[in-house]
Amino acid sequence: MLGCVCLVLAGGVAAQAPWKEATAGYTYAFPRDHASHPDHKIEWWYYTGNVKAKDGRRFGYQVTFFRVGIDRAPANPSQWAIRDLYMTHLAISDPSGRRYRYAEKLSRGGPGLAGAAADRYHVWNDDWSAILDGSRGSEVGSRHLLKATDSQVGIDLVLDEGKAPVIHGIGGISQKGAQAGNASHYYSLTRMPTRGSITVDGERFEVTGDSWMDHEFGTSFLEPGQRGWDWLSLQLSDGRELMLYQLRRDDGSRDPRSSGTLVGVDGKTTHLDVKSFTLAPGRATFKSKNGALYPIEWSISIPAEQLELKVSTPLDDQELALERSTGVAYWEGVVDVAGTRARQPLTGAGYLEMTGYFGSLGRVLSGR
Amino acid sequence: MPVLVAEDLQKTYTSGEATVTALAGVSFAVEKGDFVALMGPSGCGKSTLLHLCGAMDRASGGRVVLNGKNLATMGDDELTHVRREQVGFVFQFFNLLPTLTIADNIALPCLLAGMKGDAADARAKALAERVGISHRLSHFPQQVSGGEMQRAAIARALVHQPALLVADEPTGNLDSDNGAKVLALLSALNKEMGVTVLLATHAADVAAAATRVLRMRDGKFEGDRQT
Amino acid sequence: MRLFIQFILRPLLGDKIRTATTILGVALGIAVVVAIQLTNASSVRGFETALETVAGKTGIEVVGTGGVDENVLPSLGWLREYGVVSPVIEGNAALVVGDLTSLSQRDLEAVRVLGVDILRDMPFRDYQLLDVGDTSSERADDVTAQKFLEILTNERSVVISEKLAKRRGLALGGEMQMMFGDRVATYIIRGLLKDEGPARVLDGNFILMDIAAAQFAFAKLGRIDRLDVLLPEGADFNQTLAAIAARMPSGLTAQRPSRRGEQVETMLAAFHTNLTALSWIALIVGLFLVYNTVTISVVARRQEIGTLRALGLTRRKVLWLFLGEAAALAVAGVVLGLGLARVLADAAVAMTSATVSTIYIAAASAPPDMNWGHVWLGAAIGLPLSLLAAAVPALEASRVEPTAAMRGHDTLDMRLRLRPAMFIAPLAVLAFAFGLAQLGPVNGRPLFGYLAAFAIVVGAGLLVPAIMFGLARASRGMLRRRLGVEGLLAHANLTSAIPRLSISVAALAVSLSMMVAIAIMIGSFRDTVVYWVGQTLQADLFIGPGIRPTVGQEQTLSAEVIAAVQRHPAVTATDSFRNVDLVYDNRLTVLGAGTFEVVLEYSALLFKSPSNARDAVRAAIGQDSVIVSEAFSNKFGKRDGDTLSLQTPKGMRDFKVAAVYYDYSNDRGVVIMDVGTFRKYFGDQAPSGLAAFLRKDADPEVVRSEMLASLDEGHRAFIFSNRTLRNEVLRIFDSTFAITYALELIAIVVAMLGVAGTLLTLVLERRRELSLLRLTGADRNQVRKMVIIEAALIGAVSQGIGLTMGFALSMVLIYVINVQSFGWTIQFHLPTAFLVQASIAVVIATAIAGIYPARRAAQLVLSHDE
Repeated sequence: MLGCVCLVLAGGVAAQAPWKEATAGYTYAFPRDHASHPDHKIEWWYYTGNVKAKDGRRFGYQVTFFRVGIDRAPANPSQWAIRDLYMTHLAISDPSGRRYRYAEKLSRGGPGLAGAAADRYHVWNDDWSAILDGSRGSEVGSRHLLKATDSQVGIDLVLDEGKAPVIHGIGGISQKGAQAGNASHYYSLTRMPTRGSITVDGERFEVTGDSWMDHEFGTSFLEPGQRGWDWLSLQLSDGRELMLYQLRRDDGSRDPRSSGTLVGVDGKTTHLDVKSFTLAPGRATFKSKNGALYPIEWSISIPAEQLELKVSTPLDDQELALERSTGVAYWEGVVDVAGTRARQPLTGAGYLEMTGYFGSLGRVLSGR
Repeated sequence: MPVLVAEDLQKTYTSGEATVTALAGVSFAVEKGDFVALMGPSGCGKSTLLHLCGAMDRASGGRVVLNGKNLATMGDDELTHVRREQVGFVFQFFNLLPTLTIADNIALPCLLAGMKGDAADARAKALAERVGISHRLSHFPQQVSGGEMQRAAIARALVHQPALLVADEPTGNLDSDNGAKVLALLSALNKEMGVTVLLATHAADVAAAATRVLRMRDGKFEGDRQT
Repeated sequence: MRLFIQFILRPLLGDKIRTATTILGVALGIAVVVAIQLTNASSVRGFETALETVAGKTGIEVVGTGGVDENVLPSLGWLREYGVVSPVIEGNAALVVGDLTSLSQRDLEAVRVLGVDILRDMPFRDYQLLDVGDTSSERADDVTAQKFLEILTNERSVVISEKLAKRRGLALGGEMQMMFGDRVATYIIRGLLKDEGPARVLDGNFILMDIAAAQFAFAKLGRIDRLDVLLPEGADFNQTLAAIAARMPSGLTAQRPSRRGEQVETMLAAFHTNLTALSWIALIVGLFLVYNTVTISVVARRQEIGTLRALGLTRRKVLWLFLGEAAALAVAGVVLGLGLARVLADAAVAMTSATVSTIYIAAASAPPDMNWGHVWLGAAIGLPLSLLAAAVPALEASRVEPTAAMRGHDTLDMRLRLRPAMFIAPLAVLAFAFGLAQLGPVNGRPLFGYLAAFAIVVGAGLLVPAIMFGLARASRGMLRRRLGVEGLLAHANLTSAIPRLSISVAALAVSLSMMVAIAIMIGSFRDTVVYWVGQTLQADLFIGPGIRPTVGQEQTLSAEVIAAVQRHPAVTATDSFRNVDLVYDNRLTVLGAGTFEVVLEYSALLFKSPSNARDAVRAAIGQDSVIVSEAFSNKFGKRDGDTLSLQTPKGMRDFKVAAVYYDYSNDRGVVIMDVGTFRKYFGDQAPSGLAAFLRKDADPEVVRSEMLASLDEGHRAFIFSNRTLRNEVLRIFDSTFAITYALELIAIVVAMLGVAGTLLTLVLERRRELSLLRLTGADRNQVRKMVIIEAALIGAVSQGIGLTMGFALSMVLIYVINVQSFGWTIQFHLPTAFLVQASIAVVIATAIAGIYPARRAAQLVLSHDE
């Protein structure tokens, strides 16, 4: 759900050859669909997770591999000619240490320096990579290996797929705008048992926990008038998961394309349309160095499911500010959730993403 | 007709503000074949008069006529030609070019006048024999005695058969024996070659060799004694 | 002090001509030395500055012979452990500023093109975008990497320096044409860079492109020129370099960027040393003028010195007075010389930069920058040496007796006799020189060769008095017969002045000998080259990229042009060649690829060894064998049959030397392999040149025009016919040595000033003799003629000695210095006509130098002091 960043990247370059739009009726197959879909302009693989060290210390991590198509068929035969740009964001939250560390890579493919394979799941950016490990374990292609290490932060994690993939939206597409093509193919792995190590400021921790993976691909996403969105992925203590996003318009109103998915313990999904839920900011805010004001408390209400949830964060500053490379900043961090389901207490943890709070994204999002 | 005539000859030197009068207007005439001695103390003007008569310098006023030509109106090149053709000279010292042999020194006036080398050499050799230094012809001036140098100088002064021989203290740098020999040579050549000799000296015994003595003091003649 | 002003400075100011001559002489000497230093520095500096400017913060670079195969980059990911890594394409291209159809060098301007992946390269170099052609409120100076990339990403996009844009009237969004090799293309200016960081290179002739666009433009698909590594702050450079080097796969080298500058410096060292050696000659001759002038003032003022001594001035003070005079002259000379050096350096740079860029490196020479170091150099050589030169006459002055004032005839005894020492010492020195010439090079530099040359100069200089005595004795009769009384007098005067004259004659002879030696060397060299060119340039047409063929790998021929050539019906065979820089034994050499088959068939090379070289070369086809140039063979001591270990993209490989061939086009040393072998190790690379052989009945000029006409819009090539290329080779050859002649001319002019000065001394010294001569009947013409004959005689004697000395020096140059520093065998050839002309010119010139002293002598006032 990080399309904003991709659109920034893609926005300035006019496409020479047409890209494939996300259209209804797409049939998903796994593990095939983990791999890259180079006919689509924009694609990303997004992992977040709430993990704990042996001593119970809590960490959050996020690693996202973006592929943004620039020119489907560059005229220049050089390997350096840019077909796609690859951007990778890595962030680690350490609420007890009041630390939020992040790093990024922005690369062209070049002679194999960054890329995304189309025949199997392997995306990489220099030595950061996500790959489906088929060589180990009984189940072929069941483990996601994540490796991304910078001088100060790093992850080296093995993720089992856990629950089966959840396909969002209706008819295999997640509609983002009024126009038919302004949509994406979007699925998630909502609860992936995770183990491995993370490194913060050079200090390494062995961790275990649960991760969430999003894989989304399409060509055009947002439309003029859509300013940004607030997105949540929550793993609830009752064994269910909730994904919600709310698109905000320039006038501050809620876009009718906002939606969500509720995943049952058995993996059965319930599509949530704009009328079936509310997502409202609370009082607490965080003002970042660049002046963006993020609401860091949210209330969720899904009357049909009898769900009333409060979302809060153990760490206020979880903003990725990437002014130097792309000029983009967004808030992406660990959250706690507490509330009731049918008056029974319920807790959980997850990730909150807030975009469109820094700068005038509308201009870029409207495609110029 | 006199070989040399001077009329009211004047010479002044200017050095800075001061003007020194070397010759204050002298007049005299010398006949061909005369042996005239100019006598007087140092600074009396006898050397200056000698230089003017030998076409080595120009007068400040008056006339000096050598063989009918007025030297006073001549330019540098004309004076050079007069010297080259009609004047020979002998000084007290430094008469010879140290870089040339005695033979070349003697032949030099002829060579400068454009005479063929062989002819000049022949003349020089003849004169060297006459003055008695033919055994020194290939020597350089520094290698011979003072007397020999003066005899070579006399040969050099006469090699081109000048009308006038000017001699400025020619024996001044010699011992009396050599001095006497040089004086005798001059006297003999005066008679033999008929060359007119004008000799400046402060010594009476030298003046005695002359046929006529002109005494000078302070740039003027004191008397003219014919012998 | 007051004494110094009155006694030394006033006369110096009074005698303007003599003072001016001396100061000018010293100034020229200093100027030439400093100018050559500046020039030498500038050619390397130009390269190094460009290197540093473009290298930015790069700590370590990874390079390989013929570039780096880009497909090895993923396997070099570990480099990131040591710092940020950025792949780079860098090279020269030409900006088309004139009419492309005529395509002369005037229509092209060299520009430095840097191709980078801006996403990786931003931290390396200080790019300051001035304007990005965007009306947005984004401030240009903190443009994001992504935005920057967007500007560059098209293969026709360029970002140029603001300076270049202003100079060439280019505007943002506008178009410009550039030539890469033989390819012409139009580019759009998408951004302007402030005059900071890499944009400062070559005075702003800087073009930034995306790495993909640059790779395509330079036809280097699949290869990059190097990887730059930016080390984190505080990293231990040497440790990091060692660690990286240890992990580097074979075929690649990690080094500091300045290493390339050092290699260029080494490559140019021989050329520079030669120029430096030459420049010192001018200085030595200039110092001789100081000697002369001080001598003149001592001679002219003996009586005054005597008076001062009589009044109680000590010897030491007299010595200091005249040393002070030398110091005053030297200071004025140094000041003027430094100013003059700047002017000369500009001229010299103009003269040498063509050579340097033609033969060695393609880099515009930076205008030389004078700094305090050069002022210090000028003062440090000018002052002490001037004092040393003045020491002899100053000592003479201090020995003047007080009685000198009283008597007028205490001139020195000129009639020195010939002593055995005057023979023995110089002959010993000359024998020593002969011995030195037999010794080998030191660190690839002919140090003993230079020492031998120096010893010849010293020995011959010392022999001058003896030679002059001998000549004086032998020539008297002839002179008197031929030149009459003036000849006799001139001979007599000179003979007596031999001790004083010897220094003048030696100085002049030394300069002349250098001229002679260089003339013989260049003449021989040129003759050899003409022969070699005739033997080796067999092809009828030579096709090169649009930019003048220079050493290096950047300019290549495209397939279209090659096809156009091969398609022509008159073409029977072609031989393409490819040059890449090869670092061998830490020195920059050239690796070339040629078609041995064609080379053999058309005998396009002249082999030195072995005797059956052609068979050996035929056998080398398809083998790991190479042929090497003579320069390479001499420099690295490799002969046919030996084995060379060369760094290839596939690691170190051994190649057998099949033959050694003559090559006078390159002193860096060339290794050539057959094109098949080259392709095996270095991959397919576009050729840098092509030779075409035509049918017997074809007219090369016609074929040439037809080929040019058949090229499309996007391609331009230089096609030389055999004859024009030969002329071009000789033109380059001649321009290479222009500087040498210019330096020599200055030395000779200074020496002429010296002759004039010496004669003036003699005239002043001989006032009494001249006066006596005039009294004896010499007219002014005769005196003038005499002095001019003296001058001409000095010239003739000097030239005579110079010819002999020069002959010996040329032997050292040709058989020792050239072989050791350039590795060339030159066939000895005497440029008789030139030497005869030069000799006549020298005699006439010295006679002209005698005019002023002659006039002074003739103007002398007659007197006979008693």
